[in-house]
Amino acid sequence: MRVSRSPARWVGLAAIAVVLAVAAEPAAAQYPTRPVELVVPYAPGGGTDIMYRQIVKVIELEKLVPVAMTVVNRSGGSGVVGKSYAINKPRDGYTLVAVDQGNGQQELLGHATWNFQKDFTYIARMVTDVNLLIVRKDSPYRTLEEFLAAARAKGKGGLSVAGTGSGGVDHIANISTNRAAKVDLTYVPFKSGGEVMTNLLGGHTDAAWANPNECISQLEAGQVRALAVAAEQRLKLLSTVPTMRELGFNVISTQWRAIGAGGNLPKPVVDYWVGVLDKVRKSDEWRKGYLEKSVLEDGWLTGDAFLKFVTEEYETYKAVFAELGMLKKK
Amino acid sequence: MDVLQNLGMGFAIALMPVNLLYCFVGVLIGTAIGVLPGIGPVTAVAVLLPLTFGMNPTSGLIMLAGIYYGSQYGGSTTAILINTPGESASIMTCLDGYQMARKGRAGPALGMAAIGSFIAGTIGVVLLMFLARPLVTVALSFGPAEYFALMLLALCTLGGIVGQSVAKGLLAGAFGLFLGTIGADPMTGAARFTYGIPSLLDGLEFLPVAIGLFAVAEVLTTAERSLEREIYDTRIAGLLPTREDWRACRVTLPRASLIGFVIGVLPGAGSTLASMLAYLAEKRASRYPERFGTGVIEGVAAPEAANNAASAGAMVPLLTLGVPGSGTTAVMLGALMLWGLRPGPLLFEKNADLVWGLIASMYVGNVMLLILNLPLIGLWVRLLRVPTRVLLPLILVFSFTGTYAVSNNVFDLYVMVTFGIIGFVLQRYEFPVAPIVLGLILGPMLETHLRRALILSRGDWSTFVERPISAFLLAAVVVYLALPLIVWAWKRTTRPPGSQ
Repeated sequence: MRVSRSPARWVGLAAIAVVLAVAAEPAAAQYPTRPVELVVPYAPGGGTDIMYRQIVKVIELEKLVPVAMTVVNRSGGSGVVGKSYAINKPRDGYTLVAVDQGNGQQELLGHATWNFQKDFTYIARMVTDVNLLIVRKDSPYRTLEEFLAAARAKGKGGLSVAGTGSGGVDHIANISTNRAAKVDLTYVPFKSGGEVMTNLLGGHTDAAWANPNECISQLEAGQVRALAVAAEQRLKLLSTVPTMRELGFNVISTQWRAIGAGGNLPKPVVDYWVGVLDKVRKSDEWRKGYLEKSVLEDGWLTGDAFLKFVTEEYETYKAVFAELGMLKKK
Repeated sequence: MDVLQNLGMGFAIALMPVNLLYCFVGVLIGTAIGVLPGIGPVTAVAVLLPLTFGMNPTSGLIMLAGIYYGSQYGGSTTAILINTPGESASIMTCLDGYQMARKGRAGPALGMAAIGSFIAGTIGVVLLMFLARPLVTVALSFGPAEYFALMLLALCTLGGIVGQSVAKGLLAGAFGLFLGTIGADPMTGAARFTYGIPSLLDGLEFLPVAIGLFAVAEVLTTAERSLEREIYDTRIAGLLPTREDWRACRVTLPRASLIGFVIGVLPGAGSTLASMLAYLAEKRASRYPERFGTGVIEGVAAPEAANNAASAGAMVPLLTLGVPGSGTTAVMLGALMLWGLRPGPLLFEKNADLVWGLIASMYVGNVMLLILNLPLIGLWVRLLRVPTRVLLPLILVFSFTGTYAVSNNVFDLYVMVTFGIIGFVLQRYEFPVAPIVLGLILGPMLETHLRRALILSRGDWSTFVERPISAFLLAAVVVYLALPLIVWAWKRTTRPPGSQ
């Protein structure tokens, strides 16, 4: 008995020692040891979903992470359901979640109970998607100046601009344009970029806000014209289109997609993912196979700079929502 | 001539062994997800998308399209057998399909659904080939005002499915319209009737409500009556539609295919609307409209043909404009871009091999689906011989897993169970439940299009009659609603009193 028990005790002791050693080690050295769940709070097939599946694909291709990564779609409530699910999971780095404009917006609109700063960790902004102001090819307006002059002449509701939803990025762009150019463009919200495009092409609205990937083929075919891009710099692919800023209107409208997690994610875990995602974004597969083909811009932003960006954007939204009477949060 | 030449080239591509294989895999997956409630074509296409990255674009697109139109075949199976629409496009199929199954005619119903789907799918591809360009111009002329008028016409289908009591049917429809107002206001984002529940922000999902009202309620009702089988014991008469069935559907199939295709071309209208309008047209044209809803074969043939033709129609805006016409084609558009293509107005010229390869593969795929689905009918019908005490729990299992699979959200299960109970109570008091689901689907569309149209017209209601297409559709609504009254009044005046 003694003889047989003794090795068992040794095994037990060894196991305890290993556990202690693991606990004492910095988390990053041992992380990750089990599969990581990537929560996409939207239905499969959307822009965020496609980006996440691309990230997993690159990670698997380049063998950047030693464990399995699974994308889990938990849609509902414009992202509130999936994000709430993710931030209520243990904050150990095994549940990551897509973060975006909605974090601040849903809080301001009173749809979510979280605090966009405390309850989320913003790991890395991966892509930005800008908005272009476009018109039909047979539209009388050839430049932004002509368009805005006509809008000013026609007065309130004289010209209409289609976009993809109230409180969304392009709605804000429309409000900012109205303010900056002292015009009154009517914003008409649609459900999808596809509907926006058919309504513009069919002549039901005078102009539309669209992402490059929604209108690039129509631009190339000459069916629509881009008047301006609401970005900090001109787009590489559409270098002849001026920015709103160049034309004297300080309107920036970019949608961003990023990876985050629940608040207070341990620093080593954050650093681990920043390292991995940096490799992802620098890979050929990502730049040529995804960004270029989908006409998206690299939006790399991490750490405090990222949080500062999110906070500034939150303040902008707050002011706009207050003006529209949509603000629920005091 | 040009078309035929291109089609020949397309067939040369589609009949390559590797493409035949991907086409088969696509339609097989499509059939499977169509049969299982829950996972719809959008999800299936999105999840399988990464697998196609390594393929050449034509093969990949052939497979994804196969999933898309294949799912429209399978969707009718659960609708007919257990009164559960596998997706929103099969609600109308429940009405007469399930009644046919109860009369022991599940075989002919399934057979008509499969063969009707085949015929409509093929007609759809032919129309896609010849009418894509002209029709897309028509589609573009549909603005918010036209869509509103179209939705109003679809709302008239309510009148066709009210069942025994008009008052009860309209009440159910109004309840459905009310349910459609739940969620964030589409124009302002303000929350309506959500009581702080985030899951309600996007409104009530169609599937949990429909599975609750149809499947769960049916289980409860049957369980209450008796666990002994009483309905299906009647002999199962034949597996295929009879000669009379075919004669009844002679005009139905082409008519419904045409309606389905045209509605499918309209971005944002979709196969659900197509099946509703086809059912409405069928009932209106029928010599015995009163028998619709009691298990007439045209009631199965029309919506099934329409939703298949609609999936061919939905390819029109994708291929000619590079604009997605439905959720599934939106995902396919993303796929095309990731393959390095720019689907758009130039696709037909720049990637003729891809477009014509796809079109030819749709002919091939439809034949495969027919061969795949016909032998399954015998199997499905045998499923009805499973004892009720086994079948009912199985239906519940499928209802729960299917509902959860939609968005991995437990809240959807609460919704399903709640509507199961509501449906059970309503059935007790002989309220029809289909109008509720129609109201839920049409309500939000009616509202958004109405409000958009009014934003564009600056609050001027005359926009609806000034625009010709909208005016025409509204006139159709008026005629549809007034015709029975006029006929009735005319009969009264021409017939001497007391003759009836």
